[in-house]
Amino acid sequence: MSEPSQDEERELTLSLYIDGELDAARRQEVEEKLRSDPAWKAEYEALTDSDKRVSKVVQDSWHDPEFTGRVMDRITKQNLPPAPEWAGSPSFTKPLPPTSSASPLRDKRMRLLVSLAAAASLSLFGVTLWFLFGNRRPVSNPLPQVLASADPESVRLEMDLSRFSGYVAGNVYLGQTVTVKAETACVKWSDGTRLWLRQDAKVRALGARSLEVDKGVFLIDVARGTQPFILKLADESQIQVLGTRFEVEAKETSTRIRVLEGHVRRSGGKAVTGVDARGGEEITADLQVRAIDPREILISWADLAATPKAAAIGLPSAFAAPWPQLGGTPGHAGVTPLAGPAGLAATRFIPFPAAGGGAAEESTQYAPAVVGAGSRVFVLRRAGTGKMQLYGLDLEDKGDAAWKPCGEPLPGNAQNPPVITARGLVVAGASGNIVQAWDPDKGAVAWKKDVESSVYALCAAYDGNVYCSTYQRMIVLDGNGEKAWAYPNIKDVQAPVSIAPDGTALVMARDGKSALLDRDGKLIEMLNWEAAAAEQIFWPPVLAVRALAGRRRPADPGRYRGAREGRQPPALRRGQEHALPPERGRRQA
Amino acid sequence: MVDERPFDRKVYRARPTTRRLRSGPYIRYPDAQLVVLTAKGDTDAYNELVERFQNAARNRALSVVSDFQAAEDIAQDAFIKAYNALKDLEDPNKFAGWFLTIVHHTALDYVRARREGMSLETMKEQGFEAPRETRGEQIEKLEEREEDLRVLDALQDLRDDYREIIILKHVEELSYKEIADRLGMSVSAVGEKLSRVRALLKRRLEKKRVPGKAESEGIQAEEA
Repeated sequence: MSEPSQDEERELTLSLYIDGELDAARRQEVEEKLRSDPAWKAEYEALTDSDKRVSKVVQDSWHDPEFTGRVMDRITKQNLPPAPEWAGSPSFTKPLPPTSSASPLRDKRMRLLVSLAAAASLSLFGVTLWFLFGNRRPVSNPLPQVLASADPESVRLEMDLSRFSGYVAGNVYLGQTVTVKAETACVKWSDGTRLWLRQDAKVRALGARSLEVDKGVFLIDVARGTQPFILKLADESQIQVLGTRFEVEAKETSTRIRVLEGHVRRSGGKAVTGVDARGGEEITADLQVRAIDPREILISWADLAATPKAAAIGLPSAFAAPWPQLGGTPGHAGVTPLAGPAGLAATRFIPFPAAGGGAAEESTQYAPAVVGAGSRVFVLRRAGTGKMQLYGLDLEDKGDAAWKPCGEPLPGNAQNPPVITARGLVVAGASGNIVQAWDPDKGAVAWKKDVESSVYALCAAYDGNVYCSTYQRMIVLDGNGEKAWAYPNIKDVQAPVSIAPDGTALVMARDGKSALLDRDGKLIEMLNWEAAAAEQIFWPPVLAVRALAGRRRPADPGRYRGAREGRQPPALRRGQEHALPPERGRRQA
Repeated sequence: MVDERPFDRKVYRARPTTRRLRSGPYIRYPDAQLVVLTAKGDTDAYNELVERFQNAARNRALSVVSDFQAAEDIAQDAFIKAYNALKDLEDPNKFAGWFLTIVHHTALDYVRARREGMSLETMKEQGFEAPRETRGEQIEKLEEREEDLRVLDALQDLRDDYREIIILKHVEELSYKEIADRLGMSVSAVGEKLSRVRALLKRRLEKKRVPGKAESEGIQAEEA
């Protein structure tokens, strides 16, 4: 054993001195050294300082495990969980009993999408509530945290947590009202519940699973928990949610609830006895239940998915669903479930300008027009030989409405319409390899990209990406026109892709060869559908979106049915699965 | 039942210490959060509260009954009462004061039931109210708490025998001789061991100490 060093000797001596274990002579020596030697003095001070801190903590932190064990045994034997009022009303701890409904859901594993809108003032606000079918683990840290917000603008979020204090991870100060100025703020609970808020949104957390809705537009993604989630509205009614998704639009004097999937009950206020609604149903302001198309809710939140930062916060995957495919663009989805106008009557005729000032060239290759956001309409038409021109029209220009060219002509021909991204860019492509994005707000080209292959069709996704079906490959451009990814093993893709809500894309070549790709362009599965020479694929397949009707399983990208040219795809009916798995190696019947 | 006085060194000399330093993930949680978690059915959170407040409960009870075993029983009863009465606690932040009030009343009930000769008039009915803290005090408290957690971390990193000797020295306040008897060591070995532990802790705490505001993850000062 080695001899102790000088430092160790000093440490030992000082330790004995601190504990009063030195005899009188040694004690005097040490005291002399403390007066004359700075090293001794510094060491002494460091040791006593550390010792005091340790002593304090040890005295505060020790416990008798036997005592603790006895207490916990008694509590366990009681089997009596406390239920303080501030954690939620005990009357909502029981699940909703089954009630009769006009359209009972067949699939028990259901999700409801309900958007909740509450308004404290006379103005109307929309609130979207979306409950994911999360796991059942108990909440370990029920306190919310505010994540990094998106671009700071004038959005104000006030979250009053004064009744809910304690430890929090993140940027939220508990026990007070928090104001966050952001374009899109997100508050996240550790149990997975998330809340995105728009400008002037105001919500008050009453507890871990309880919110008081004051005003504003917000989307709530509530994780399934051991207790139901309660929303209290301004009209003193409340909504009990048990892992469902529904939309509530609450005004000061009326509330509307729209259910995408699942089951929700409105009670209190005027709905004294309780009114139930299930997927595809709405509880109107006067407490009537009627059928609706819930997909409109997704459209109103499409811009969230297109904002990179907001998307980085983490959005429910259904919001990555393609737009305008779910919005019902007939050219892509084949049919729109959205209610159209009661009657159609031509009101105005606005001719196209002629190329070069002459008579408009007739063309049999008009691509259908696409209606953009608001009142703007865009169309891609031939403008001379081997050129396509994007034209735009603002229907609100009543006096001098005229088609105006948007950007420079694109080389080549185009047989598919332009698409409008969630951010409002109008993107067009033609066989001359160029894809161009037009910004109607700025009246200028946003970007232009040479994809090095003939562009046959485009599809705009919720996340702002544009899927370009080209001769050589499938290529995806991001919102800035940069290449996100490319998949080269499918060629001569004439049809736009079909994108499922989870981002899975079905790419179908003219000869029927198809590939399922994930959102990053990785192959999920190759589907070998064959097409005879006389039957070629020019239109996208129709997706039966199972995520809406049933539980989404990550390993199952869904089932699809291809639509041959000339065939009308079947109407999508809620609650029914009408898509069949493709038969490999054989033609689709 | 043997009347065991707290810190009676003659009594404790022959017994190994049963005391332990608190450990586990819940030691970092403030009282209020533990209360909230308990309300959700998390008994581990209440376990931490019991470990955290048992000394205070014993001492509070001792101030009334002067009997260690009785103080233990009172403290136990108070914990059970507090658990069952959590719904009456309006503000989880006030758990400490509220709980010690329960302890005090439980102790008074014990005395009344046993008629120990103390008249009600001579007993001081002291309410226990948590003082309102200023913002500065709140921040200071958080800093202190953060500092305590660092020290606790350093203690948790010690070997079991090092930790035990620290408890014997600082909690049971035994002399070197008594520690030596308890652990079956020589007095000089006790001195050397304590010196080593002290030096080790000093070095660890010197590295970990961060001056200034408490900026540990998740702990934020409350605004006024």
